[in-house]
Amino acid sequence: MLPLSLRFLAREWRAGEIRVLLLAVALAVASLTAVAFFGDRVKQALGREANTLLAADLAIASDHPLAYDFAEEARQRGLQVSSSAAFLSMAQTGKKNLLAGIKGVDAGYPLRGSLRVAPAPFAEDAPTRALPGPGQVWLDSRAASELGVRVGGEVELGAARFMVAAILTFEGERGGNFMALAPRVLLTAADLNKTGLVQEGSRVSYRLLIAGADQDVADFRDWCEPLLARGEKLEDVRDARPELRQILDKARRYLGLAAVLTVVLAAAATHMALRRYVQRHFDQYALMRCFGASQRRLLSLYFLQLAGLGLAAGLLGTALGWVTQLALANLLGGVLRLGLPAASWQPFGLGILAGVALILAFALPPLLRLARVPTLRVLRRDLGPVAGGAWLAHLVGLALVAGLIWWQAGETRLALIVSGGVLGVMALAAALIQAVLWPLARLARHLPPGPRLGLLGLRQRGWETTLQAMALSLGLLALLLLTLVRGDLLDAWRNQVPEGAPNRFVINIQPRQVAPVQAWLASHEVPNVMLYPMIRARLTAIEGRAVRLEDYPEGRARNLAEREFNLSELSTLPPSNELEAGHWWWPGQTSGFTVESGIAKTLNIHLGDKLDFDVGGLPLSGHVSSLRKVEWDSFRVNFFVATPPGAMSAMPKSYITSFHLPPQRGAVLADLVAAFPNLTVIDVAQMLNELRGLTDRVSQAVQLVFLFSLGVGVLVMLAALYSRRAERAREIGLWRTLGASKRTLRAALASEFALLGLLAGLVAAGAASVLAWVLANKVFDLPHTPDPWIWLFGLGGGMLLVLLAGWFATRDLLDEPPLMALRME
Amino acid sequence: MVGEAPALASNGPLSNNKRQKTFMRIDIENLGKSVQVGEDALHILADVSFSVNPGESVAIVGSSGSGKSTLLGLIAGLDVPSFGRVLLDGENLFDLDEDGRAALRGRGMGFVFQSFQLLPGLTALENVMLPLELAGQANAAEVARGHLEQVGLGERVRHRPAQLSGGEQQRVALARAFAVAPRILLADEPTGNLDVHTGAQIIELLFELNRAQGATLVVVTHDPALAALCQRQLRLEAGRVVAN
Ligand SMILES: Nc1ncnc2c1ncn2[C@@H]1O[C@H](COP(=O)(O)OP(=O)(O)O)[C@@H](O)[C@H]1O
Ligand SMILES: [Mg+2]
Repeated sequence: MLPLSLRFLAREWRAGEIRVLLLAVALAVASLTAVAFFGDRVKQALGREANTLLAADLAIASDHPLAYDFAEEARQRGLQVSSSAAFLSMAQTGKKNLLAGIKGVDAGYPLRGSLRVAPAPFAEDAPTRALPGPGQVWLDSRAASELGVRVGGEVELGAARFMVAAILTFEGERGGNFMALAPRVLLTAADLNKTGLVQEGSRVSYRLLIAGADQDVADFRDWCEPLLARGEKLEDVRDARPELRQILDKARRYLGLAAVLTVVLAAAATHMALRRYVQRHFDQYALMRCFGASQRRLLSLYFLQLAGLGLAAGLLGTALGWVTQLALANLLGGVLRLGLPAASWQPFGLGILAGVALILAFALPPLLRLARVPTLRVLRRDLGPVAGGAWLAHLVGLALVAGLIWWQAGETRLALIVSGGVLGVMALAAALIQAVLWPLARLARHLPPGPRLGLLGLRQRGWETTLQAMALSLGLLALLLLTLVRGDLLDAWRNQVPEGAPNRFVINIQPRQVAPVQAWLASHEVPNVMLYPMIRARLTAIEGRAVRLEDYPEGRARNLAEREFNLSELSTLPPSNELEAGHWWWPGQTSGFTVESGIAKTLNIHLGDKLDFDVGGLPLSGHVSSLRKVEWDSFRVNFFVATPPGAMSAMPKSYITSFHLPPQRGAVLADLVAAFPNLTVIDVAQMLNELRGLTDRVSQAVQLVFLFSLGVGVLVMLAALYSRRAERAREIGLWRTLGASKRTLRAALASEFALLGLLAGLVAAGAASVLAWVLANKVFDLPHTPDPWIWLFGLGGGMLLVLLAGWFATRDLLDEPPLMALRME
Repeated sequence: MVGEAPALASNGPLSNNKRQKTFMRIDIENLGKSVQVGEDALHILADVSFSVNPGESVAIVGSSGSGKSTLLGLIAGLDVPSFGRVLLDGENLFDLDEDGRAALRGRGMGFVFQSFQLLPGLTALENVMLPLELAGQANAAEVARGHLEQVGLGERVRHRPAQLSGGEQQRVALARAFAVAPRILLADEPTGNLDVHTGAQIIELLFELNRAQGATLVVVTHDPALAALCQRQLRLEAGRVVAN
């Protein structure tokens, strides 16, 4: 049986019929597995790498030495423990000073990941398990070059001198905050004590690092959470590098969306192709029954053939998917610096399974139809399959598609939205066909012969036309929707790091230096720089109720509530801020607050609420007179809470500013610091470049997957148009026999395809506009810009595309001699 | 009549004999077929009885719509009658289920159709091979090639039906019918789709092959030339045999 079905399969292949089927399923599997392979690798890498970003599985961060001996408890529980303490301080050599991030670490650091060191700046580096020896420090290359010191040279930290033993090239535990951006000096905790820099009142950030088996760490977390005091908080991988995480999450969602749509398209293509396949086999089935094959034997013969085809499609698709994910990984791996682990074998199995399942699930209903073809068909050609309920089999197919969608979407919401959209489009297409085609066909006799034939043909093939319109609408929907969402996504990413975004921050500007610094910058071609006062304050009460940690169960709210805010005075609404509620200061207003709406929501602050702050011992209170929406990723200076100008004139403050400086003008900063030695300059150019690089590459990955789905979409259309080729050939043969000219027939076909494309384009454009809006809001969390062009693309593009595909599918039929066409069955 | 030839019983149609060549006897007893068309019952065949001796050739003639194809379909067991029996070598075809009848066809029947019934995706050779492969014959390709040569298409084995003329297609169909070494050959208007000249060639070929291979032959036809070549003619009118 197996050899026979393979032989039959080989013949089908040569006959060419099943190639569209194979291609459709293989492409679907390819995009499924590409996303699965890649997603799997990124997930593995993120899991692993995120922990190295933390240097541990769990950390307790605090601004003071921990009151409770959590470390002892962790050790008793068999967990690994280490710690670090970091702060900003001056490092000195004979000639130079540098504000550096000093970090002292305990034995065992880091618990996850490893440090990398090199013998000299820009020399080849290697991972190490060691730490600086006694009396030694490691500098990163920036600290080394800014201090002008080499390996073997000396550096002074506070009261102690150290030998530079190596260049630190990689340190996982480096968040996106200001301290992390400062040049790094690393030494052991024991040596740190010798510097005498850590004293009562120093702003040190301490971290106790914990690692161990997942369950042990989780247990420890549960145990210590209620014991944390003010200023102590738990950190895990979710808190590390949120900006990268966001970008990758969105990219993964988009890949998910593309994959889901590809599943839908593949299902449609498979369905159309299989319908045609089975219809073409009515004769064969009846004939083989006539030649003596039993029903069971024939069904298993077909079943095996299709399973073989599914297997081939699965293998081909999986191989294609694997190659694609290699390309994806090459695009992204470098920028992510994730050292992507090898793909696991799981997607192989899934891909092959998906190929077989896709074909079999959709083959079942038509195969059962086949079994109902009476053998008598060999004598009476008009006999088709006996009608009857294959609804159970259809259900199997639908359930499979639903399962695949759900699996690919990775989240229920996306799956539901897309499924709803797909069903909506199918219903809409069917309704539109009913609503338009029948009235239009009544007009047919007023039309010239070509369009008339086309229109009547469409109506005459009623159900088939509806099916075609559905498939075409789905194909177009996928193309338009992916285009729209991709546009939103790329826009958002492009705006995330706009050209000319501020890449330098200057802090610590004293009030008397405001005018001189502004003037200095202006004279060095950095004009119109805004300086904002910055005042540290702690929120003590809202509406007279004391702010207590216990009132804020949620992690983020609690972190914010205990944190010291940087307040500012604002005279005008800064760029990248938008008033959401209330009013900007009345003229002459001298008290009150404007609050960022996100934090207001988290801390449950409302317009008009009275807020009390403690500013270095001095009270400051007022009512909330406006809420602002802030674009945080604009990289400008922004504040959660601000007062009208002059409201804090009595309080101690310093000023902050940010501006953009082209890379080649970096030297200006050295001059600035020379002119105003107390200023601190923070350079985020490198970080911005990294971020920009990442978004560029992720965009490319998104485009790549987009192309895939595009291919499948076009395939669906071809499958839809090919599906009635034989009947069409006979129809054309008949028309030509009855005297229709080639020109008339060409006009008939063209008007038929144009009308179909127009209707499908209308449905797709409408649905895509709605779905893109829903997805942007509910899934991607992106600002959505409606794109009126989509209607033009949908209608015009749909018409053109269907015309083109239709021409492709029927181009040879017109040139067949009518007799041949009549004979073709 | 049942059991009339007990010597044949072990070689009967239901036993899987080793294709030992014996002609098959056909007995039609009170065969009738009615179908429901809307409210009314349409009697396509009414009480048809006749026999065909082993090795005999019989033509069934009659105007279009007189029920010839229906009768042939019943003899082949492609459909079930409303009443009556078809006995092949004494055993009632309709005691078997659908798959049993299919197995019987596979072992002893060849078919030629008006519309050729070649599969468009397959080459001439593959079309001839199809019933052999289904019967599990090992050297299907060789046997099929031999039969194609016999019908004069040895050079066209790789051609698809669409590349062959009607007459050539019907010759492929003849090769396919005789390739299985049938004991009964059933033909439904084999020249119906062909012009007179080509039809005559096909008729000639059909009888030549039948002489060479030997089979009980039942031909449904309009074609007087074809009918005249058969040993006996049955005329069907409105579902009844009117002349024998
Ligand atoms: N299943 C059926 N349902 C309805 N009418 C049928 C059916 N089968 C045959 N007929 C009708 O019975 C008549 C005889 O058909 P057929 O045996 O094909 O005639 P012939 O082959 O002699 O031209 C025709 O009128 C045909 O339309
Ligand atoms: Mg007939």
